[in-house]
Amino acid sequence: MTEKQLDLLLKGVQKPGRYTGGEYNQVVKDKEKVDVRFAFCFPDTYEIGMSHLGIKILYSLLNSVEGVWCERAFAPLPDMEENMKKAGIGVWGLESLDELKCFDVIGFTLQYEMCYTTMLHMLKISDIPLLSSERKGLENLVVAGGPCTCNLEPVADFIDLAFLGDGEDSMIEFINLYKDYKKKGASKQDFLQAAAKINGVYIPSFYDVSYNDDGTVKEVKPNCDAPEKPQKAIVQDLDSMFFPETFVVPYINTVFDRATAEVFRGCIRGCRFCQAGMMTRPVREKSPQVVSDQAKSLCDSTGYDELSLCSLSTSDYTKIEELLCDLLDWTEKDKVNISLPSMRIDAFSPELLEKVSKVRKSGLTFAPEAGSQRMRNVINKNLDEDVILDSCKIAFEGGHTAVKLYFMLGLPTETMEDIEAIGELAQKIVDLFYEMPNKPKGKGVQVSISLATFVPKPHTPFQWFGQNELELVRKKQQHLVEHLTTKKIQVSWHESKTSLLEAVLARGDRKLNKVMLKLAESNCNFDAWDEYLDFEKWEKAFEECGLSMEFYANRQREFDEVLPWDHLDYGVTKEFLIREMKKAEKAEVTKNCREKCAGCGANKMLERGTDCAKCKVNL
Amino acid sequence: MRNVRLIYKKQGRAKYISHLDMNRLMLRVIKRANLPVWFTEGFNPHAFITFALPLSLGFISEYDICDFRIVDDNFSNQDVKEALEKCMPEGIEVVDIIEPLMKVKELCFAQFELQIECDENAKKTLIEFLNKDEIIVEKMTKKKQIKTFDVKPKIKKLSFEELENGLKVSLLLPCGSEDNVNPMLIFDEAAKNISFDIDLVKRGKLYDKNMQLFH
Repeated sequence: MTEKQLDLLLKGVQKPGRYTGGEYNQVVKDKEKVDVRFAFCFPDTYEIGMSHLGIKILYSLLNSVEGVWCERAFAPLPDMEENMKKAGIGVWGLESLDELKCFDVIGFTLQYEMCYTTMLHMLKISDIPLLSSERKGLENLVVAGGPCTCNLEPVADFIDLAFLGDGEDSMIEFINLYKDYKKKGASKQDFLQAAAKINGVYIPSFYDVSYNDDGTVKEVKPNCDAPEKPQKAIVQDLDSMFFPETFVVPYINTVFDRATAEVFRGCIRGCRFCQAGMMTRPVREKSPQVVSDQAKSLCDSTGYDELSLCSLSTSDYTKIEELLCDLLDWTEKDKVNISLPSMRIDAFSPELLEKVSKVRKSGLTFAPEAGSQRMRNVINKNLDEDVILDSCKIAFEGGHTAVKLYFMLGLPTETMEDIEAIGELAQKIVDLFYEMPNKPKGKGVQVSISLATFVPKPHTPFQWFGQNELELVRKKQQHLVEHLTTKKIQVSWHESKTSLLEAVLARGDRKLNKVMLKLAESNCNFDAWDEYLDFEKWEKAFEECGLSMEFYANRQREFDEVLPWDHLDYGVTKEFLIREMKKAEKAEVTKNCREKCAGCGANKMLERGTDCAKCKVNL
Repeated sequence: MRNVRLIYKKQGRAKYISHLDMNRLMLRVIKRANLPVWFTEGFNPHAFITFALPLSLGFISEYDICDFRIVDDNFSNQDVKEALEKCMPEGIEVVDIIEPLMKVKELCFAQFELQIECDENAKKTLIEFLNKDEIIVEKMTKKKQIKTFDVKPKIKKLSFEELENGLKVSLLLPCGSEDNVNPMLIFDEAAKNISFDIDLVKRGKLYDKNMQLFH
């Protein structure tokens, strides 16, 4: 597509900056001289995709390989799609403005289940056959990465190859192999056979799934010499790991438009609902000096004046104080604001708060996840009410007046008393504010409760749990609202139908591929957005395929059931997950990894070995 | 500390950067260039920059103005120019760095050039339309009411150049805080009865009331 054609397409379109590319730091190579063209697709809008750290890392990583040109592509919103349809033009790479059809590899990052339909829609409107079996050649190879590949089964028929775990090493191996095989003129089959040997690569078509009469999985077996249990890849050493020196700087406002520095991977906490915490084990840290240098390079080369530290729980970073000192050395001079998302409440020391607010005051968000102490023990969120209140007190004293609290609803063993406890905790925070003699003057307090419906996820101790039915979820939401007595507390929740669909897809099996195909045929798109989700289409597709959502979402599974993702090895053992689930039922807590090793099994992935005595015994 | 005036061009895909986004873009360019600019001293310190005139989304320009202050006197205009040139994104081109001699409120006129694609018939009617003694256009007021007025007296200069498949129209229109006319007011009105496509709108040089180049 030429720039002139782009001009015509953009007539009357909202926020054209989403579709034009040309941003500072984008990578442009001579397409005649590159060997492999890779389209990195984020199946959502530009604003969301460009906020994601993974795409920035892998974009720079792939472009660092000679002969490889990686471009970005995002999903067009309906107004743009309308114009594209009229002009007969599919989704394009922002750098070259060439359509996806021109690319060797089309890679999707699957960050949340609800983007599956958008992924299929992007392929569809780009005139690329949806089913892997219909794409015969080596060109237009569709690959996927991101957390959702830990159970890719519902979209397995559409994807040629998936990356499990950290992509930094496996993608380099993959792209070099592709380059060789393309040069040789090899077939797609030959390439996939060779690629299956790469650590962290999973080729869905190399596995056959059989089912029991009741619809559960009987067995998943490789149909060739692919590994029996593909294992996720991990980067062993984060200090020497590739990290981009710079980011593409968007023109339009994106959700997170700032420099991001990753401080560690994995999580020591072991919250039983948390998929990221389980799947990214073992914990690996970056040294403060490396983080600080990388962050400085990013800020210098992008011109960002905001830096965010990224990890699953930044306050668990062992050298957080040292890092903040290193950072403040230059951020104050350069007038860069540091923001610390994912801070755990109990590590919020006054000194830390002081250091951060020295630069700029940002909002305050806590995630107690559950209202009652019993419930927090069940989910292993080892956090006492006192600690929550103390943190709020510190925050109020520091001048904050708005607190946002995240809770989950529909957790295992939950009762109505546990729901009421959410409101009671919020009330205690409100009371605390008014009891303070030195509260900020002339200001009221605002406590916002954000309720998410719990979605059980694969590779977690709660993977067997049947999600609460919609009706019960609504009853619980209503119960909480009725239990509140002040306007200082506001409650909001996500669309529960979305949570139901997430639960279906997260723990779905290959039978769902025909549902996905039907959804693609009926042009489902942007289902992660409440305003675009058409639940009736989903209901209809399930009905037509003779499948029930309840089977996937709400059914309590047995420990001995073969789960659709059991053949994928994410480090933590099934024995550990069962142990944790049983402890959850008794509201027993498990100590964090630093206090005491729980023997999850992930440490065996470390080449340097483990310093934990218990793990050594288990090995 | 001294004031400096950046004159720049905005072309190509950069025309899709809105005025609001331009502000953020320029702050980042200045930070990348590591320029010793003056920062505001409020709760939220930021580099102090001002744009002389907003540009509509989709227009290109060849004479845009952004003012800021340099706190380090050892930094010459040439130094500033070189530093900025290295850090500009695609489509934004540094024309010059000068000492501002006119005040932004002295801005009075802007030159516009529109490339229009249309058939012979439309070309004729469009020229006739623009040559009329009175062109009544509609404008949305800030109170969301539609106001109609004759824009013709505000068009200071008007000329045409016939192209193979259309027309090039040049106009000189009032700009600035006193009076401001967006050429689209005129061409949206024309489009109600005449069929044509606008390929490109370029804002050219800016002038004061005596038609002196704004500098």
